[in-house]
Amino acid sequence: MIVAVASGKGGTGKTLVATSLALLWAEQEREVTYLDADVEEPNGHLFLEPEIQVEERCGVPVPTLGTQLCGGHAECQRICSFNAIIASKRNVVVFPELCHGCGACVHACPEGFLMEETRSIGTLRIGTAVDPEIGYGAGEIDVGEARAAPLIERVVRRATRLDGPTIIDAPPGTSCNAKAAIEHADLVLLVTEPTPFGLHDLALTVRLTEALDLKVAAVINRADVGDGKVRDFIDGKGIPLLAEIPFDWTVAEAYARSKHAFEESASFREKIADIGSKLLELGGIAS
Amino acid sequence: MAKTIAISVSRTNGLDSPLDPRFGRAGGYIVVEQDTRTVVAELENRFAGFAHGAGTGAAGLMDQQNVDIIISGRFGPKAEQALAFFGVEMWTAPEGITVGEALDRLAAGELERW
Repeated sequence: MIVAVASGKGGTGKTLVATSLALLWAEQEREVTYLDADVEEPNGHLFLEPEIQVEERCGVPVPTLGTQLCGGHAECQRICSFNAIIASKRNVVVFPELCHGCGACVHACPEGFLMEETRSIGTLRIGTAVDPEIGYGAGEIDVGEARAAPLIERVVRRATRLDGPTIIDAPPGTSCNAKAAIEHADLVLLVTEPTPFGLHDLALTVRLTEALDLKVAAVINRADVGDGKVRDFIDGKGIPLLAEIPFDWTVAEAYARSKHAFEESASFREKIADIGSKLLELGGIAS
Repeated sequence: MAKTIAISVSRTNGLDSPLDPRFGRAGGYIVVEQDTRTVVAELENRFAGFAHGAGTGAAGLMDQQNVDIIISGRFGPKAEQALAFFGVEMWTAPEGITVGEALDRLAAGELERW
């Protein structure tokens, strides 16, 4: 079972819930894997402290200029949907950061002037956290890279090959990055907060999951702040609400020190245990 | 040979169009023949809403229109690189003026090269 923990709004508690679930399931001796797909700022490792066994660079194809002469047809510029390549009468310029790596320009060039090379965009790390044992994978995008989806796809591809429950810590937002992180999940766990921003971004993320035809469930974090509109929205959409987690200083302090919050707050542990068993139930796994 | 000038505008209305200070994300462009001040084209900028690549797309548009000089408020780094590649001269004008006024100021030497 693959559970993607997503939110829309940043800072609602995705990583807190995702790492806590990983620890819970590991304690229950399940073969759990945590994948950090929030590649712009992966931080799950701060809580799980995995030992990294494999570290590899991840790249995307970009056009590069070959040794032939440019014929000035500008077919490359015409076919590119992202304005990543421009052509004059005798030469072309590639903007690698804009390139989506589709290869259309290489294909379209009548002179065979363009070739493809690989451009590194980030790092993939695979390892294991011990005590309790948790499989770990994460991507980290290079500073300045605009498009992280190809790296996220590499991280998430691992999930589809694993047997035990897999938790994907998704990036916030509803862009290609968020889509890439959740699209292969069996269930998307939406972590939200009862604020106008939480509601606004939750609504966008729910639309994304509807467009992708994904099963969803929700958790309201810091449930005792703000108002009841998020709850009304979740009820109105018929989304199963697995838990409402009240604000708890003990949890906030533990998290800020990268400690395992549920070892320090019994009431928080109870909430996570509740979410964990409901998720397994939704995924058709006996708890 | 007469030079072709383009001015980035927030909406197209001939020489009265208001200058848009953003090159790549401008609403459109007015293309004018320098000597006669004849408007040769009014272009919509279909790249304005692009998440990325508006600047390079707009620069390609300038090249297709054989623009020699572009007047705008500012140019992003990729737009600047692309315009330089196409050999288009970049000039900056303040916000709040029209195409006609921008042309007057360029002729009077009151604008600055980017």
